[in-house]
Amino acid sequence: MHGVTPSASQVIFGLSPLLISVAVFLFTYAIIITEKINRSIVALLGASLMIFTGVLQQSEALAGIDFNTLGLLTGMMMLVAITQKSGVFQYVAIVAAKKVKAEPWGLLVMLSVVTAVFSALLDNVTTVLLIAPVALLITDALRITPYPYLFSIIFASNIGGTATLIGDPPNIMIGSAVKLTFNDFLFNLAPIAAVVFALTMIPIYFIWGRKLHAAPEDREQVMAFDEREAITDVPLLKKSLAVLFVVIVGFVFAHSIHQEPGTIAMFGGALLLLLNAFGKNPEEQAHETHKVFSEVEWITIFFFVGLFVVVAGIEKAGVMDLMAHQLIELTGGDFATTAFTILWVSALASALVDNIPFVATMIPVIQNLAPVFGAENLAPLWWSLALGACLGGNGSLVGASANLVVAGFAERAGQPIRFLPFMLMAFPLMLASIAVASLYLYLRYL
Amino acid sequence: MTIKSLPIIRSVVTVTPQASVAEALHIMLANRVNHVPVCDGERYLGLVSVNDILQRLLPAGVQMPHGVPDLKFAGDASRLLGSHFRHLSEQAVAEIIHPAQPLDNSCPLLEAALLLSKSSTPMPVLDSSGKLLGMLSQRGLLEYLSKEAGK
Repeated sequence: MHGVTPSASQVIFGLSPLLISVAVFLFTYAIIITEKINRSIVALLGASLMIFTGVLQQSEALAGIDFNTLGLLTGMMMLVAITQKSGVFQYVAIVAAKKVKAEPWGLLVMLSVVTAVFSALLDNVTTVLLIAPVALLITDALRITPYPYLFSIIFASNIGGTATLIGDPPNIMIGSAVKLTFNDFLFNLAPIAAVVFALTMIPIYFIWGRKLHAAPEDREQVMAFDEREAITDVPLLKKSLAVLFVVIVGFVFAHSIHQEPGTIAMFGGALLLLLNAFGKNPEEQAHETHKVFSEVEWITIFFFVGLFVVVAGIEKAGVMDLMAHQLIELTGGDFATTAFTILWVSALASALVDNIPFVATMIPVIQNLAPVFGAENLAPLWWSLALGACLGGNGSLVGASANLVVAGFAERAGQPIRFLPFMLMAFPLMLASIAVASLYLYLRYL
Repeated sequence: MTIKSLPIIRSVVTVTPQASVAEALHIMLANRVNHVPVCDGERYLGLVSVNDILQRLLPAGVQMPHGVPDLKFAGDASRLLGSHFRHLSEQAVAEIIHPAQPLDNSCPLLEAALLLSKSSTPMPVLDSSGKLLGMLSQRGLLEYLSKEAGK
């Protein structure tokens, strides 16, 4: 993790920092997986343990927290909180549903496509925050189970997010660390993302799609939805779209204007709050602003905070380095083997732990391979890392924060997505997508 | 002066947690009230209100934070409402109960007035053993004060 200043750990009872940090890490993840206690509480307690046991000092724990990611998430959640009041996302989802005459399988494909496209342009969490509630509403009106839709939305968000520099935090980190541009990502990752998306729809069709059926009267009910009525506030719509445009352009040029996406997203959030505050008295402004802040998913944010500290702990103890170096030793310096190993290990790791800290560790490791392979030849390794880390997020419910957000919606809708049943379907699908990505890497780069 | 000593607690019909939502709604409609206390024997468990029922008729996609903010575009969707209503009617009251804070009958009048002013519903009044004595409503309290003022 960038920013962690190495200093010898003074672990309690003189125990090995490696042992203690791994114990705390495994204990924290085990409890998160049981889902008995809210994950943000567990992550924060795990983080505290890393400090109390002496693995980390408080300053190191704080340095381990990626505030750029937190800023990006919080800023985008603020933007979404305001923008969604204009109704523009319902508009798009309803148009998509009506285009396929509210036929359940067509609807699933359309909502997945909309999710994938939004995910490529907005952050994944933002996208699922917008699409999942509309999907729940439409499936409710069709009187069909929302589960396949929420499952596909998770997959579409992670696959769509793979396609661009700004689609997923790993891509943001890789892009800013190694000076790959928006267009580099688009040309190299968007084609394979499109292929993986199309292929993923096939098993989803055979598992759920072909059995989905809605009564004609219920489909009529959805066809009677009036998308124009969904746009509730035209001035707000214009302000929101203008700010979203500025933010996306900001992301595209973040590198050339030397700004982090977190700053751009927070600026966008503040700018839209400002535009929204014009013409209102201080009391109304306070009320509106408070409402927007309260819609930020603090459980997700604090989960990230705790997780970053826990990972900073095992990282400082040398666990991540140990794993990464052994990985390089394993490949024996062969380029194709190294690329495939990075792809598959990233995918497996990202399915189980947050891909952000993993990618942060892998970036310097891959940079250190420049003397072996030549700095100008490393690009396929970056694509391996991005594909593994982004697509790997589909492997389990804790693989990506968007997955957890969708699970939160599902739970409130009385259709909980459980850890193991989800993984039973998602993990093999994720492995298949990585196999396809391997073929792509082989044919195009190796 | 505690609320126990005043003629302001109204005895009410109750429902059991096993009763269906349809039964609870029927009781509220027949008695022209918006709330009915749920009791297991004499033990108070919570309230069920017409609004608890109404909220659960709405699609899940609007009931949550970040949910769909309005439903004007969805038209009447009377099939959706009808299907939710039928489903909800058969559920047990225990599924939709809300744990409204009860008043202790030794509560002083002024404190009762403060708690009622902050409550969106009438408040159930319990004795020290947790047995439901009746409900104290905003109207009931004001009616009493109005009579006292007229004396």
